[in-house]
Amino acid sequence: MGVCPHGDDPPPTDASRDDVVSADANTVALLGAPNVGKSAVFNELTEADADVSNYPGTTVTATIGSVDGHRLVDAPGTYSVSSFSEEERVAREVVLDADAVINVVDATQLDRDLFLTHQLLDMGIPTVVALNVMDEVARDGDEIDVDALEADLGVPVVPTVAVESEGIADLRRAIDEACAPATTPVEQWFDALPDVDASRREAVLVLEDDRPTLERLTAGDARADGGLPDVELPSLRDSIYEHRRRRVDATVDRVREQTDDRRTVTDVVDAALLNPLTGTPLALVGIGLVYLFIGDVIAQRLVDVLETEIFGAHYVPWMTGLVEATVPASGWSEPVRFVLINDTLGLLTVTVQYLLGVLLPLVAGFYLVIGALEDSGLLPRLAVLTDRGMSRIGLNGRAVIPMIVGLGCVTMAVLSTRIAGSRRERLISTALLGLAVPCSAQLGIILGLLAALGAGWWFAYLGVMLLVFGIAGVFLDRTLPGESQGLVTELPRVRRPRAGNVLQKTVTRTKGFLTEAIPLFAVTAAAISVLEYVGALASIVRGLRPLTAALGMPAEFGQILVLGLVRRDFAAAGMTDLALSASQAFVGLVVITLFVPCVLAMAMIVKEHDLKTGLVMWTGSWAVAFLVGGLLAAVVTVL
Amino acid sequence: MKCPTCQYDLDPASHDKCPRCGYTLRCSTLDCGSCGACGGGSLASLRGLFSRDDD
Repeated sequence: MGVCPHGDDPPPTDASRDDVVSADANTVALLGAPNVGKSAVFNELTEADADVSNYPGTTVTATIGSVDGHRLVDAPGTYSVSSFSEEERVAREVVLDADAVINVVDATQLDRDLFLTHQLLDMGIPTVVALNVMDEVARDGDEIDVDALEADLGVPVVPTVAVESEGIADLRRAIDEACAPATTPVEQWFDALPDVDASRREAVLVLEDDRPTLERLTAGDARADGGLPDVELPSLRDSIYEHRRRRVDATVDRVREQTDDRRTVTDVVDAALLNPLTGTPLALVGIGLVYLFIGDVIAQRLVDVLETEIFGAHYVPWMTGLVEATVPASGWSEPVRFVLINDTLGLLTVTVQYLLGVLLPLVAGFYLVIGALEDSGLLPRLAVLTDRGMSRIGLNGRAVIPMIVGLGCVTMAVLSTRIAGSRRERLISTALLGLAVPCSAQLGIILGLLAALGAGWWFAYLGVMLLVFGIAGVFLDRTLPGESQGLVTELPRVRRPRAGNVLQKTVTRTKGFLTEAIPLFAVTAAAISVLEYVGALASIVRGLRPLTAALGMPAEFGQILVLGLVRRDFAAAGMTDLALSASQAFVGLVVITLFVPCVLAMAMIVKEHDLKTGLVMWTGSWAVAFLVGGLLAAVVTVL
Repeated sequence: MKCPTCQYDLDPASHDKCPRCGYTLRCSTLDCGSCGACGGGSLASLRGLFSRDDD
């Protein structure tokens, strides 16, 4: 690694010499724009399993591995070495510490990605270019002269298709040939550098007005009053960036040739997805299919088999028998036995049944769908299409995913709000999920009960839920501090998802979820069981009598609410045993839908936010459920 | 304005593409609220629409 052998320019300036010639290099940074396939290259080089997604921003922290004795650091996606965002600041630190860089370039986005390449070469960083997604260049009707690109840049260029492992062996061999030209045009601005002791890579960043780099360089020169010396940035960023942009354009003109300008099938599909007239119905169909898969195939059919026929019919009786045979039902062991095998949330029976028979298939199904949507590039397009509607309730288009997932399982959906953006968006989407989005298990029973009441009650239920959802969203948007974050997302290409990649992501993410969730759910289940054992749950039923009376419901409805504290579908199922009039059933169903999230969803909310937030949402759900229920009871009485 | 692709802060009045990522600025893909290169006025915006997209 060092100065490129074919560079016949003058020797580097003093500012560059220490960095350009770095003989004993062993830290190699993997650098490129978001969504160019860095994680795929990283996985192939290190045989690791970092997340690979057709979605910008998968890598938000540096991941470290090793390849042929080198320490390989996968940096967050960045368009240049600079400090405009947190990801870019992390990438800048990685680059400044690296002895060489593998610059992953999307071969279909040369105009965009070669800016970073030229900047790395300006900084004198030994570089090898991985020219990725070469398989899509021909599909676009383009041709890239790799030899010409290598000659133009003056560094090794290796064509790759990382997700198919193509070119990886060549790339591995080329790491030791990483180099940088001895001199580049950026040196014409070196005279404008402030009087600081900088390496070449630092000098280029200072010329480009990178204040953190300048502050670091002057940190050792503190004045007597403790302040930093007054060194001005040269304000040359625009000039240097524009000059570099012209160099990039010239490089692209020389190496890329368009051989076929016909629109590809992908172009046609992409245009249809982004046009609101065609995209909206397509998105609705897509959302419907996602719901069909998660909410029906997984949440109803598969879960039914696993929960009832396998765990309910075989595992739970077997485990109950085992515990009954080994743990005596008297003395000190009696409460232990109760916590382990009680019918509500026994630690070794119902909790295991719920975790493995209900949550595991839902989680795996969700990750499978999200993985396929990410890989195909459809997820950001869905976000763009739904953005306008979601922005009215303080969210952006990305939040549509948790809402769909919530119809399958709210616990899982709370986790998926990570996709929604800032903490504010996550709070709003979590609150709406906890309040007005029924999970599929509950929804299945509710739909059955409403069907018996008639279509009018069904539409009334749907209208009330949508109204509460909208009003709650607007209320949260107007009361929570801060501004809602607009949807800014780069649209990756539409492509066919790769089954291997989607499955790998599903397995990795599901394992991660279970590792986090199992201890949390075990503690929660044990706590609920203890409450039940000491009679606290029965006390709650008694305490709820005034509230149930205000709703015009019988006292037994208190038991339904207590069941709802544990699991929402328990409450819905309990409703089937009550003798209620049509209007009472309608009010009851609305109340149990708006009532608190199930205990496991609450545990997830606390985990993803904090205890205070969880308590506010929990008490807020009580208030909204009884307020709306009371209003409806009054209305149906008048009608 | 912020470049829609890379978020680089650029002046649309003096650039026809983002210097950092090369995103081409077009009136057909930007709204006037985020751009403002025409200096306000619907007539100016309309003129910008034709002159820029014809480039």
